Amino acid sequence: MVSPNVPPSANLEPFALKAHHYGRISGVSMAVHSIPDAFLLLHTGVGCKYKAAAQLSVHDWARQPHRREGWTEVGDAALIRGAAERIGPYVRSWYDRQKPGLIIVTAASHLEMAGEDIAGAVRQADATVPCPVRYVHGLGFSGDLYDGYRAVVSTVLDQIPWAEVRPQKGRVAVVGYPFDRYESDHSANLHQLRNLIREVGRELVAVVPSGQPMARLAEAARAETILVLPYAHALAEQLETTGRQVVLTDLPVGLRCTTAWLDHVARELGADHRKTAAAARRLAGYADQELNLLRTRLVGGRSAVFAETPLAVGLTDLLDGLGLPPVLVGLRDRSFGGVAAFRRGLAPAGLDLRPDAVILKDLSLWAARAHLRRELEKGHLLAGLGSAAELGTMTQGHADLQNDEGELAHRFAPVILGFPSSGYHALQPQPTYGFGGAVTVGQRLLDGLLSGQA
Amino acid sequence: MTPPRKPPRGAEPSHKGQAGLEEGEPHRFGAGDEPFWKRQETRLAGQLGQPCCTLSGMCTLLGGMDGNFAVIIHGERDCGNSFVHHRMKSAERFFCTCLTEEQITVGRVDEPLERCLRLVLDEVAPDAVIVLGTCPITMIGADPGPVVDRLAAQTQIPILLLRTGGLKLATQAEMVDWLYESLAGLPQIVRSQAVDRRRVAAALRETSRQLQRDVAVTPLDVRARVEEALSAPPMDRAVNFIGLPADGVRSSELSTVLHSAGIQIAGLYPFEADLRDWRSIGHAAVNIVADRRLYPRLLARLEKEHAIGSVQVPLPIGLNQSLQFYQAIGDFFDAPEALDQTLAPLVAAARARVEAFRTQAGSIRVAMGLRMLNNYQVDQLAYEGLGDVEALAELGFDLTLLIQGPPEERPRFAEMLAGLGVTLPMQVFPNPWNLAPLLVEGKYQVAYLADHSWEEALKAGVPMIKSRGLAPLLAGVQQNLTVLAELLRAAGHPAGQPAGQSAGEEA
Repeated sequence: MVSPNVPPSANLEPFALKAHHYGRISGVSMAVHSIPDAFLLLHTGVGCKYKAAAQLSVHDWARQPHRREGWTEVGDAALIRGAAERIGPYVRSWYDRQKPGLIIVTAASHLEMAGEDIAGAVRQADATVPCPVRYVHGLGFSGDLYDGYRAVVSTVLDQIPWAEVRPQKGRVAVVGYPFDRYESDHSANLHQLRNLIREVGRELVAVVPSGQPMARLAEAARAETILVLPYAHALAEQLETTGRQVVLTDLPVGLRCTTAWLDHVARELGADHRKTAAAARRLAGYADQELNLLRTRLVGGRSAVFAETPLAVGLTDLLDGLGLPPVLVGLRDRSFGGVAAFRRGLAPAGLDLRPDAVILKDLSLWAARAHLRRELEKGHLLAGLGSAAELGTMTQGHADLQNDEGELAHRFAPVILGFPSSGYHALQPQPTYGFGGAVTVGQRLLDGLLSGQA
Repeated sequence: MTPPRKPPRGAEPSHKGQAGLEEGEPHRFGAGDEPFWKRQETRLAGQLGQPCCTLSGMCTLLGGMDGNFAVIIHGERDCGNSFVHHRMKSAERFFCTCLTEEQITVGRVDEPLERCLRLVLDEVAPDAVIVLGTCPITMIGADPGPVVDRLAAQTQIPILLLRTGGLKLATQAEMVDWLYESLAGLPQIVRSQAVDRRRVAAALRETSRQLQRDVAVTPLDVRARVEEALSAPPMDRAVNFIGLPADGVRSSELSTVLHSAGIQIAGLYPFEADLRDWRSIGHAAVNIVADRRLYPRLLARLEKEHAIGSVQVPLPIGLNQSLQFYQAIGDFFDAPEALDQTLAPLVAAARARVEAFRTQAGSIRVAMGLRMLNNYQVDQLAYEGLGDVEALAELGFDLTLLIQGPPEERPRFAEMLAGLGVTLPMQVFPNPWNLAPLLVEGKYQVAYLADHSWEEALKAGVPMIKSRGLAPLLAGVQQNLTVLAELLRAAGHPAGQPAGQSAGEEA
């Protein structure tokens, strides 16, 4: 019998279904979903459809991802006869129906392994419709959601007319924002980014991706500086060829990390960093004052974080700043460098984890929930920040954590953020980024803790 | 800023294949592909339901099932992503052999399976293991059978190998029957141990409720109830319900009505069935089945191995179908009077509500979507998705079927519907993203569509109910009429008067 709070052995763990089992195809789908006039053609069998829009459809209430996705309906007969020839007709048919600004074709591993020239078929299809048609590998053996996402961002960057457009002084573009739904949490994050960039005396002209169509993403060409978020750091070399100043940054999440982000950006852009530092102190002070109401009530508490490495760094800062240092960190990616990268990410903000903290990489659902239950049993875990994958069952249906009234037996606030957030939807602006994001997450945490109390 | 679009390549010479275009007709870049589409193998496979990947389907259904089991997906890592796992209560019981490109290329796939299987057997100690195949395994022609057989011979734990995958298009109906027949084929638990724990829990809950509102319940009453619940029901009065709507099995109406005739629920398949239930499915006198055609393999196994016959019932949605449902049960157990007596007040109330609604609503145009979902739910699949038609028709609605599929296949759909005795008007539409104009053109007043159609219904200004969103049994009649009345009120229809005056609210 699976014991609910004993994780699988180190031997079994690699086989257990991951908390973030998503592969490249899911990331490709997410990135295509972030561009309202892009279209995803899956060159796959019928089940692979579930790796794409189906995963997002429960996450995004504001826009159905299915409407910009098709598949080439590959079955065994098509595989034997040669399936790549199917790509052209499907591309043209979908172009006729939807007139997209970009078509991305991706393929399941077994079709890529069958030895057919899928890339060639995509090139041929590209020549027959007005919009660009591009092939992005969907190999499911390696890589994760963030690799797939980044591959599409790279393709989009190739479509931006960097050479034709003159960069404008003081204009900044951000590349690598993880836009996964059209709800108000993302519009709020984008607003925070815009305001932060304004604090260094610059104007944000485009965020790639940001829920904007191809024509708006092309505005990035007007920027003289490109700020690259961690999700696109691997594209630095490609971005260097644009002739723009390229600045790699961490995420502006958490009070100290946001302050460090502003300082780094100001210095790299040659802005008046003393002025920026003063602005950061002022804004952080406002946020800090609000969070004090909460902080004083959380003394001695601990927390858990489940997120991709760059976000985990920011959330660790945020929780630590609230007096809820994480004792459990689950890094749900395989592409950002793991535990070492996480620790490196903490350094610029002067952060470190408690010595008793556990950091797990690419952990299984079983392990995530078992470790969480263990910490809950110790009675000090007050908050968990993570996606619906790790925290969903903490609020629905796990009898071992519930009392007779169906409420959580422990005083624990599960705050669902990131992907997937199927258990949480934002009707009003609720950022995670910036100083405002720290207060918003603090508010959600407080709501969770007080839930059920009169 | 000009969008980064290529110049429309071949705009001029490219009009090859466009010769048939009429003046003013939009340019069609795929116009030359007609021969390709004509060569396409059919996706319909003789069923109205959408085709599915058997791996995705089984993972979805097993992920929602309770019990001490383990599922091993034998394939590449991403195959474990072909279902929406994060919402499943049993996702922690899933494992994947996570085959590498090299292992698949050289065909060295048995060793990871054996290793994973051994670890799962040792650490999880499940009551059953289900090993599922994937496309890469099918493609390279690997046979996991010998590994599974070898390990099965070394353990007492049953290991099921199901050669699933997405390359051979299966219907959802075939998939659910295959899975459920396989689960029913697991070694059965001896009858003395097969006490329905849910029945005990339900009896305790009901007793607790009664205790709260009625001090006349004595400790002896409580004891009697618990003892009754703890005893295995007599086999000749025990029923397996197969394919009832999920909401229906949670209704207290069903157990109360059956109890009045001395009939017991042996199991509620599949929505409320855990692994132990499937391993107790042989302990019943009859299967009451919503659409026998969905379960040829399962029913044949139950007949052959346990001598349990089956009685077909409609989905118990709406007044008439609920009555037919109870009548079939009463007839089988030769207890129509007992059931009639219990049902009489419920039927009278439901009938009055339906008649009042009909009178007030008049003929309302309703669009009912079909073939729009791939969610493997048997109540959606029952009667080819037409299980709710009668419930809507008895309200006097003017129903039109909107079938998602290739419009050129309209004659085939019409033929299939005729085969089912359905003569309702129908329209075939190619994809769910152009439903709004269809809803507007058809002047529909209510839409009964798959849940992903909210946006389209909203665009069209047509109030929508999620398909299979109608509540079952007689108790569901009032609930359904209330929802319909509220929808119609929102749309400004006279049938939707404020609560208290609406047809749905009158008794």
